[in-house]
Order: sequence, then structure tokens, then C-alpha cells
Amino acid sequence: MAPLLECRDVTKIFDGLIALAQVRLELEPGDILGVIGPNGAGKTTLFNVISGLVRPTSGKVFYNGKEITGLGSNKICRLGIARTYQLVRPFASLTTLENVLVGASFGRDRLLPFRERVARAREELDFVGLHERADEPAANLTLLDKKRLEIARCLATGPKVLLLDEVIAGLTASEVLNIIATVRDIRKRGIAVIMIEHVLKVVMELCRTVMVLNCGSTIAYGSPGEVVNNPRVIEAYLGTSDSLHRGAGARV
Amino acid sequence: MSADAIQLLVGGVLLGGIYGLAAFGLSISFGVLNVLNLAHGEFLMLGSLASYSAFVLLGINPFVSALLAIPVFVLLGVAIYTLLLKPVSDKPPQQLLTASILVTLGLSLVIEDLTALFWVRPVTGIDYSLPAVQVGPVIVSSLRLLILLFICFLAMALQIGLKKTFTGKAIRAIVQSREGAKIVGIPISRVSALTFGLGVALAASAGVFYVTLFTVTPAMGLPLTVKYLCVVVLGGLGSLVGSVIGGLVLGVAEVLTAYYIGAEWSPCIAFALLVSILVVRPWGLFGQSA
Amino acid sequence: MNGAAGHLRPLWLLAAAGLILSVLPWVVSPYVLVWIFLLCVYLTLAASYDIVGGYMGYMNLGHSTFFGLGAYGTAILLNHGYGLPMAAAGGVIVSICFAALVSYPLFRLRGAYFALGTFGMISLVEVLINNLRNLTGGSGGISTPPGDNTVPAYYLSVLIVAATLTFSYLISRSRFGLALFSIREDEEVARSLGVPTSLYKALALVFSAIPASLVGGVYVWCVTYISPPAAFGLEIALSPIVMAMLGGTGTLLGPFLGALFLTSLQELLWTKMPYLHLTIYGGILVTIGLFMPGGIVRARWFRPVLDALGVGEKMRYLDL
Repeated sequence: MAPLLECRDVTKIFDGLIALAQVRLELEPGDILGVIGPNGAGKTTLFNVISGLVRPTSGKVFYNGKEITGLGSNKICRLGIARTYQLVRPFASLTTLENVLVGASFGRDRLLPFRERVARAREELDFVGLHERADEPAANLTLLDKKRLEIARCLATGPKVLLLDEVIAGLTASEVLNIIATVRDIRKRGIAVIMIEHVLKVVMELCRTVMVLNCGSTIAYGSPGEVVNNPRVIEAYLGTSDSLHRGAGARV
Repeated sequence: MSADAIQLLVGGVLLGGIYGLAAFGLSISFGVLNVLNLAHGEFLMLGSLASYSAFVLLGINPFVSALLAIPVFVLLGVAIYTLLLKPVSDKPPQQLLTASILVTLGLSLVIEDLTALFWVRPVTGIDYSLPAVQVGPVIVSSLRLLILLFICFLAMALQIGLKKTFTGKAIRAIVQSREGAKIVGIPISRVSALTFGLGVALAASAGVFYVTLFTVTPAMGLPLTVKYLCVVVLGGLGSLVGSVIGGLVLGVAEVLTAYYIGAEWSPCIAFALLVSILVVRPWGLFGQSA
Repeated sequence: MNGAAGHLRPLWLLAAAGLILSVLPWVVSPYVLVWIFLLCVYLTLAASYDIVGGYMGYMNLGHSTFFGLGAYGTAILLNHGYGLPMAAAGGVIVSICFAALVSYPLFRLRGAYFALGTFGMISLVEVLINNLRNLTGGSGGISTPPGDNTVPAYYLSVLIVAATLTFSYLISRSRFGLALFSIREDEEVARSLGVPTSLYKALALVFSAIPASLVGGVYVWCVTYISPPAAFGLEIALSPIVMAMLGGTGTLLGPFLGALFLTSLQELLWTKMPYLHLTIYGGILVTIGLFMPGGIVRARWFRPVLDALGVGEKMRYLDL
């Protein structure tokens, strides 16, 4: 049986800059994969390739065994892959409910009549805990609420795979716990998750498998325990004792 | 190549040079301000009229006019930026777009209309003749050659300015990464004002030469701005070199169209080129594909 | 908000307005009818522009091209002996074909580039019309069969306005309209949520072309003459857009207010001041851009009027 989502040797080169180099990943239904790595490692680019925002220079992406490389992002969404964004992007002048309704109206449930789509949207708002803010313009929400809105909006499209891009960034400690609980609930619904994160603790806690990217290449792929002790990973984050002596100028 | 063809080519390159110069101003302005100045063509028109007046009333030749025009129009540009564009510059992108289109479009209408009030008859090209020069089998107007040289000189000065001066580097920094430039402490507002002024001045200096070749009317501003858009898209959004090359392509294309198909079709050619490049290669000749 | 009574007030107003408009020809001079006719033409153009410009956020400065194509198409068919219905339908068909064709390259442009590109579209079409002299009469324009069609044209234009505003209202409450709003807010995100952006953008353009070309046909039938400046000039190109922006884009009331304001202004000033029309337009545009880019409808000082009309809350998508 083909994996739910598979990337084969995905490479992306921007004007001479290698953003991704022969990246591979495999995701089964219900999995949760963490993607970590220093800034500029290519993590968001990977999401962009999977979700169809960007065409890879070479390599292929497969969903349920069928190739989806280069398909438009709206088609990929309908197939069942949804993503959030590193810097939240709500539809500012629409209300919270309307935001989620967009997802409900153009995703898996797009053929349902109006009332049922609105009901679906409300369900997802309840799921993330935003039902009290349904009629507020999205621009007025707090950061945490905007992140929850993005998640609800994605869930409303009925995805089987959810890509979360640094969903924890900028949140306080208690807000982080809130989001972690939401991610656990998402997994309980049977949705596979790939999360890009910087906060290692969260990744170790939530993810069964972890992939480490550095300068576009995968330098480790395995369970959290394996990855954390991998010398290449330690070097990528902290540098070797040599480069530490050489000084900060070495890394730019 | 026949003598005719060479003449056409020279004419086309010259026209292209003028287009490229103005388009470069538009491109750099857009790169720094993130605002497309719809009034850009109006400044070309003003430059033309200024050059004409200077020549007819004071006997100043176009080359001197161009040099004089630059500081004047830089100041004008800075003033316009401070009054009209700075107030809207920190709005979110969607609002910035609407506001900037409204403001620059409104400005172009006002400039055009007020100019028309004072300028009643179309202005024909300056009759500034120099003895013709023979290059190979072809007789080329030395005026045209000089203009071409002058434009090259301006372009080179610009390149050097962009690479060596602090302002030039600041401009390039902002174009590459606005946030990064802010973090490093570059005064975005001041550099934006200067860049806008520079863009305006480039349009005006292009206009100074434009009037030696063509008839100028107050209403030519907006159609010209549309042409510059075509040039910038043709060359590739975000590429300064592309704007210049795009200008050359358009200039040659227009001249060839006027000669072989008929002058009444040459306003079409800019748009036709735009549509073709959008269909075939949407990111332009030098732009980056997604 | 007064609950049920508040919701019904605008309907009463509309009914009253409809009644007055239908008996007007018996009461006032043809001059007033022509003024209302022009108001309706501009309002139709402003409201149809707003579908792409306001709902979707793409400023189509070339909207009047559809008007011009509708007018010319209708004129040519009228001169070949067809009656108004067929001729106007022909004009609409030409216009929507053009819209469908041109949407493919044009929508590769974004933001101000799109605005400029669509503006260039006008002069392209104008040059084409000028040069295809045998078909279109060139720069001299064409005349259509003479006749005093003022009163029927008046009724037609009022009907077209009503239909256009209803059409716009239905769009704004539909799934399609929600998609347009999402495209306006963030096209990339909308796409990643499944919205078929390329298709919908083209559809929006085609939808906006229908009322514009229809009213172009009725216009030429009434005025019995069309020429390139009348069809593609700056005035007809910019007026509806200024109206929509002045009144407030993305709303139904906005284009109406803007059209009302500007046609009245034109009526009062144009005859007294033959110059400086464009300056005034330009001044209005700059003022809106600097101080109230949301238009009159969203201005704080206008709220009391909105409340009095019974439309207290901003027109929102979901009215549950």
C-alpha cells in the first residue's frame, strides 16, 4: 500500500540557491512528523512544494500513490492536503465564521448546501474553541485566536494531511499548551500532521518521527530520541567545538 | 542590412533608450516604495514641455536642459512623495494598493488637465539640428547619436551611483529586502523620497529628449505610463536591467511596426507585446519564475 | 437597529422609489428623464465594475471597454436591421467573449500592474475600432436609426440598474461571492483552501461585462450615435470607477451614492465650467486616496445616515 504522502528526491533551486536537496519523506495515515532545522533550512519551502504553491526543480510528490507534483494548490487542497502559514494570514475583513466558511465551501464539503456548510464551519470553530468569536472581524483577533482560526479554516476543508508551519511561534507558555492539546485532538480525528517547529521540546513530545533539515538536505530522520543524539544534528544547531572557536563569523 | 533597416534600427534603439530610461525610473521607484506611480508618464510630458520652453524661450539645448532638469525634478518628486505618498505608505498591502492607485491616478489627471489649460497647442519636436554624420553606408543624424550617447552616460552614472554611493546601496538594499533594510537602520522614508524623486527625474530627462523626436501633447502622459508598464513587465518585474532591455525591445518594435505595418497600429504594439509575454513567459525576460 | 422594522425600512424606500420612477415620465420634462438615464448608465457601470474592483479587489480600469464593445456591437447590428433585443444581445456576446479571452493574459498581472494593464486595454480596443473603418466607421463613429427613444430608454435603464444591483446582491450572498472576497483578502491563501481562483477571476470579469455591455447597447440606441471618444474616452472610463470608489467599493450602496454625487456634480458644474473636469476628478481621487479610501459609505460622518436608512450594520455576508 502506498503511503498517504510521499516525497521522492524533492529538489528546489532558486536562482542558484539550493533550498531543498533530494528530500524524502513518507507519511502514513494518522502519523505525526516533526520537521526541524535551523532558519533557512528549507522547511517552509518543503511545505510550499507539497501544497502546490511552488513547483520543485526536480523530484516528485505522491498522495495516495498518485503523483501530485505541480498540481495547482486548489486541486491539492481538494485532494486532502491543507496547510497553515508561518505568519498568520487570515482574511482580515471577513468575520471568523466567514473565514472558516471559505474552507468549508471549497474543500471536501463544497457540494453541500449552504446551511450545512455553515454548520460544518461552526463545528470547526467549536473544535478550536473560537465559537464565541464567530462574528468578529478576523483582523481583531489575538495572535493565538488567529492561529486557531487558521487551523479551523484548514480543518473545514476536510483534509487527511495537515501541514502546520511554526504554529507555536510567538505564543506564551499557556497558549502553547492550548495548541498542543488541539494538535492531539486533530490526530484523534485520524488526520496526519506534519509540523515545522523550532521548539524542540514540543516536537519531542508530540511527534513519533522527526526529520531534520539543514541547508536543504535531510541530515537526520528517525525517532525523537535518535535524532536528538545524532552528532550531525547537534553540529547543525550548536556547531562543532572547532567552529565555536573560529567565531560567529563562520556561519552566515 | 539595408541602409533603411539600419536607420530604423537606430531610431528604434534611440526610442528604446528613452523608454528604458523612463522605465528604469519606474522600476526603481516601484522596487523601493512598492507603489506603482501611475503619474510617471506625466513627468515625462512635463520634462518635454520644460525642454521645449527652455529651448524656445532661452535657447538652451536639450542636453543642458536634461542636466538642469534632474535636480529640479528630484525636488519635485521628493515634495510629491512627502505630500501624497508618505501618508499612505504604512498601510497594509491591499489598502496601500487602492490608496496609491487613487492618489497617483488622481495626480496624473490633475497634472494633465492643468497643463492642458496652459498649453493650448500640441508641441512639435524641437528643431535642433546638427550636421548629419556618415557612419558606414548610412547617414545618421548626429543629434540622435548624441542623445543615445547621453542616455548611455546617464545610465552608467546611475549604475555607478547605485553601486558606490550610500544612497545607491540603500536603494538596492530596500529593493532586496525591506524588512532587512529596516533592521539595519536604513531610513526607509528618506530613501523612498529620494528614490521617488530620482524616478521622476529620470522620466523627465527621458522627456527632454522625447520632444526632439516626437510631438508632445498634455494628454500623452497616461498612454505613456501604460507603455512603461508594458516595458517593465516585458523586462521582468523586479529586474532593473530588464526594464532597460524591455525598453529597447519596445522601441525597436514600435519603429518597425510603424514602418512596415502602419503608424496607426504602433500604439497597439506595446499592449500586444505585453499580452504575448504574459501568455508565453509571465515573468518577463529577466524576471524569476515561481 | 430596530430588529424586524429596521430590516424592512430599506425595502419600503425601494418600493417608494420604484413607484415614483415609474410615473415620472408623465410628470417631468424629458431633460430630467435624460439626466436619470445617464445616472442609470453610470450607476450600472459603477456597480458592475465593483464586482471585480470591489468584491474581488482587482481594479479593472478598463471596464468601459465592455461598455464600448456593447455599444458598437449593438450599433452595427441595429444598422443591419435587427431590433433592439437582438442587437443588444449581440453587443453583450461580443463583450463577454472579449472578457473571457482577455482574462487569460490580464489576470497574470496583479495589483497596480493589473490596473495599468487593463487601462491599456482601452486604448488597444480604441485603436482597433479606429482602424477597422469598414466595420466601425473609424474615428467618425456610426449613427444608428434615428428616433426619439428617450422614454423607453429611460425605463430600460432603470430596469437594467435594478437588475444589475440585484445581480450584484445575489453574487455577494453566494458562494461565488465569498470566494471573490477571499481572493481580495489573500489570493494565495484562498487558492490553498480550494478556491478555483483562475476560473473565478475570469468568471467575475465576464459577469461584470454583462451589465456594462447591455447598458452600452441601450445607450447607443437612445443617443443614436457612437464614436471612439464617447465609448472609450477618459470620461466614460474613469467616471464609474471614481463613483464606485467615492461611494465605497465592495458595497451596494457605495456605487449608488458615488453615482448620485458625481452626476449631480457634473450637472451643476460642467456647463458652468467647461474646463478642469479632469482636475476635479483627479482631486476627488487624491482626496479619497488620502483620507477615505473606504469611500463615503464607510466614513464615520456618514453613519447616522446609514442608521436612518435602516442599514445600520455594514452590509455583511452572513445575515443570520
